[in-house]
Amino acid sequence: MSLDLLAVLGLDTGATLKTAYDFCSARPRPEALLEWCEKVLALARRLDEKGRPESLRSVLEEIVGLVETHPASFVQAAGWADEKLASVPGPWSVRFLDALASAPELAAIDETPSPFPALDVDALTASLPAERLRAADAAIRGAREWRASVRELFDRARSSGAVERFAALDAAPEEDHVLLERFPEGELVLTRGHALLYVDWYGPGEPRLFAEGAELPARHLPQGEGRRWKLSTLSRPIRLRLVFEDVVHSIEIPE
Amino acid sequence: MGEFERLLASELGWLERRVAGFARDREMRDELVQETVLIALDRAPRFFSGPSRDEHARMRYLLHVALRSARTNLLRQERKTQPAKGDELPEARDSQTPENLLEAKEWRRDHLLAVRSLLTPNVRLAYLLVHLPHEVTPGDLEEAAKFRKGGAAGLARPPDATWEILRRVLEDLHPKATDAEWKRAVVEILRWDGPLGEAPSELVQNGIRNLDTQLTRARARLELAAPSDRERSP
Repeated sequence: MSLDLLAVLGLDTGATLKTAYDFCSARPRPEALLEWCEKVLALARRLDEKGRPESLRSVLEEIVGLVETHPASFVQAAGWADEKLASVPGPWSVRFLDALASAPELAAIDETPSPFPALDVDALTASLPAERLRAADAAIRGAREWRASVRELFDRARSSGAVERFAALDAAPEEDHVLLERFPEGELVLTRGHALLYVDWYGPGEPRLFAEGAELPARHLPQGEGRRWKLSTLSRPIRLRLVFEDVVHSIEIPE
Repeated sequence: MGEFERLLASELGWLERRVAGFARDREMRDELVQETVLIALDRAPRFFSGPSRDEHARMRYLLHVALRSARTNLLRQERKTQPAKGDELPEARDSQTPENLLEAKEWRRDHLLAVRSLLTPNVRLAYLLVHLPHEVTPGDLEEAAKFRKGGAAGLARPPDATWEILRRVLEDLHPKATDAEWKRAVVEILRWDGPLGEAPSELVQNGIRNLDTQLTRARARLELAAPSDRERSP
């Protein structure tokens, strides 16, 4: 199946998940919401039919979770979901449609005051282990600084190129990495080796990678633990599409 | 205040409201929130690593998944501390050995907790009425009645009148009703405010179709949500 056809079918887990997050932070227009719902339903039907890939299952779980935790953003699709439920679809389709159909009730629950006195947040956090809090804080800060980490990695690749010309290879560390995406079955990592940039897949299978619509030639990682693609450009943004079977996961290397 | 604490503070009110839906009392609420936060803290380093996304939405999703695990943990704990408690159950009466009897009771308790924590009020009431009608409480009826608007069905009669009718049909009709007859009775209990047995056939047919959809939704939620507590990240 061609990449364009996959895009038309809406089987893009990365783009669909990103839109779900966008909707959580700002309530969508009804037509945008319904267009997105159709795309998620196409993903759910694909999983109902074939039961794989695993990445599709995890993205659908996250999408269902986002609908259930932010029901007010999705409430306008409840009627649409009710109608679709009448056709008795497969379990993942039902799960997604059920989350949408439950949105009005969940939104009402979220607006209902708790019958118990409010918890003291200071007392609650005081009981948490300091070491674990530090690890969580570092990860949250890391996520916030992710764009900067990507930018720095590209900058180091550029400066490595200049250093190489002066035969001073020791000036920059040999290799460094930024996590692009984590899937249940593996990780996609942006790797710099001197002046060269690669996208590495640490995981099973033989996914394909497209950059700006063109498929990149793959080779095995040095230890055989996955696949590696060389990026031919250092100019950003770069729109990547990782393809598992007939499901695309879009990722953008930001500007 | 650190980053995790700041995000937790902004989502704690939401978590409290969600927990209140199935906590028996304040003590259970406190215990569930504490356990949920500990699990979320444990998973946060792996969960937050990688590209930046809306961190408040991420935190709420993390708490949502952690709450499911906390509920499961609490259930295991209760099973250890309260073995074989409660009334004798239909499954238990059919059991052959003391081991089966205990197993049936534990399964039912687990299942009921899952139903009460995973299903929204209207779907929950439909599921309980069809599969576990003796477990329906006046509180279940009151909660379902609250959400009549916005896609949820609500109740045709006030909750206390519905409760009286339910008690009567459980005694008179349920023991001898076939599955189809009981489903029809459930539809009339929920959707018809006239005398039982006299609902128009169109209302009954539509009601049974809706009831079947609600049961399908309930089963999907119970079947697909439960394994993820154990196996999948975050």
